Amino acid sequence: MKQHANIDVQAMYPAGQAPKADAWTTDNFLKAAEACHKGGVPFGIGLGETSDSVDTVGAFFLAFGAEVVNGKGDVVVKNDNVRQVLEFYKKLMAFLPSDAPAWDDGSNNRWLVSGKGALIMNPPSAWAVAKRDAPQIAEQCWTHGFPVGPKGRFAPYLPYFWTAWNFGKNKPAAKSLLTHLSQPAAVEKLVAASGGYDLPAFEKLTTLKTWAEESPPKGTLYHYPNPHNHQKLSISAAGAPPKIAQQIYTQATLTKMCVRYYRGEAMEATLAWAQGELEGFMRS
Amino acid sequence: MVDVAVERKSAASAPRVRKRAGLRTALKRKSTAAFLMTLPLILLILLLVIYPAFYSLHLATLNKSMQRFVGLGNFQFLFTRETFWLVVQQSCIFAITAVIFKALIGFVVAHFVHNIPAKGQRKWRGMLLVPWVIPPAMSTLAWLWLFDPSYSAFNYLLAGIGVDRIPWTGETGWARFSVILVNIWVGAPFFMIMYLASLKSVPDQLYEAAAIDGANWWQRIWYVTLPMMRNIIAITTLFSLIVTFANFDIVRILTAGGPLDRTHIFATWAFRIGIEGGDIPLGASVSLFMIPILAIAAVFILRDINKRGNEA
Repeated sequence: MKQHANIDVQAMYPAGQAPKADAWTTDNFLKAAEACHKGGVPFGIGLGETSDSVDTVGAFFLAFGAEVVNGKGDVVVKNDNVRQVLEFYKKLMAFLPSDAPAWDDGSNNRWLVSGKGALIMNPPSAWAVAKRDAPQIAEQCWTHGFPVGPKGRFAPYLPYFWTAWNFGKNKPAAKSLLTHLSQPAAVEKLVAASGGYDLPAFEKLTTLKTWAEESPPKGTLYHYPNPHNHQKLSISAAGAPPKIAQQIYTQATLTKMCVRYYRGEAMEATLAWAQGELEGFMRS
Repeated sequence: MVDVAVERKSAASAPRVRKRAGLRTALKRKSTAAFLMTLPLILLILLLVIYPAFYSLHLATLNKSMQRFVGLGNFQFLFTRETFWLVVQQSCIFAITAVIFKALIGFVVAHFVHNIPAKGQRKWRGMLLVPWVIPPAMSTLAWLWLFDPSYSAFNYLLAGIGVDRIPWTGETGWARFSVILVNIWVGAPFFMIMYLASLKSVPDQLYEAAAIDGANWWQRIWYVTLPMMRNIIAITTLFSLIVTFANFDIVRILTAGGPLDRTHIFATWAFRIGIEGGDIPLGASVSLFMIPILAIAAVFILRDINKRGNEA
């Protein structure tokens, strides 16, 4: 990005310091995408139906304040914020690989590791693979935040939980294990074991030394756990009631809207299609 | 000897004896033995096919949370969905196109193999069956890598001759082409082997008689080979149509139904809705919708076979 778009993400997200990324906006993101596309190293952002694609598009929808179903469960897809984010994605898609709508969760990783792309929207698993298989690529990687949109800066977040079966024979032991694994010392070890990939579900455990020290280059993962609360962590479509949000996520409705509009469908036709889909998700 | 011993017993034991003798006679009957031999398979089918089929019928009549009976409500809902009709259309395109090409390729290749001298034929038969023998989930993974956006071997070769990279699974047309191509690749050997067996059973005298009558190559195919293969062609087509219609693994691995649902077929969409989307009754309804379509196809194809049987 530095070479083709004159954007230094390392300077915007310096290791050990708060981000200085005010200029990292959706507009500049678009300009960088265009410059890198022209430079022969396009951004590799999936528009498929798997979680990486859905998470990314969900964060951008939030950055534009684009709500498709509100908290009460009403379909509100026909609004200007949605129109705005679809326009944004239409411009962005022109600079992405033509088969991005078919990408799965591995495609963006392979895109980065192959050395063909300047940016992907992914946790640092692609970097970890590059570190193993293509160290020269890993040396150039830097994990940074999302661009800020008209309604804020959002990043995807997918929490997972540990649970014990209700019918388990030794529930006290299970609870004891979970309590032990949730202690800061144990969390630190787990983070270290995953090479910094796993994020603990604790707001204050975002500055562990693994993220500060992992390399190459040193500090590349520093901003991955969002240590300065620089961006709001969100789950794609989570503004809708859970049962509807789950359908929007699983059916990848948001990415489909972007792809439909990009491929020449009229804006109102895309919104009407989305409305029909969303109304179908109201089944009980 | 046992019979003699029974004779000496009292009259009261006569029915039991008759019963035992009847059982022995029944066991000696070929049909009984055949039934007993197929019993394990029948039990398996009951357990793995009939029971799930009836259970899915039951599921299809429930609401999303599976707490309330809704009758045909799920089907009514499906009929209002744009994607459902897209899936119906795509399943027909996928199955019919794939079966036609599998049959054509199988027919041509079967002739080639049939004409290879017997000595080397077994090798060719074995090699040509490889795509059919490999589990489709595995071979489709290899195809997925061939179509991969970053590392596609096909695109690498195309780039070598100056052709632009093709978004194999990214554009609707190419994605449909890709899933059909892989299905043909996997399924054509089945047609080949069935047709080959059928070709071998055509009596040489018929060809000799046709040659004496001055029939050319095309006339021999049209008036001798095809009529002799009609039944096997019909049965193979029906079988393949059912299997292709219900295909899951190839589409699931290659495109997962994308882009924009344009390669979803019944099984993959049912999985997306029922398992991934958590709407099991609707997923069950989608999968059940295959039955009437396949039943109609089966009636037409099998009726034709019966007709020919009666003619014979």
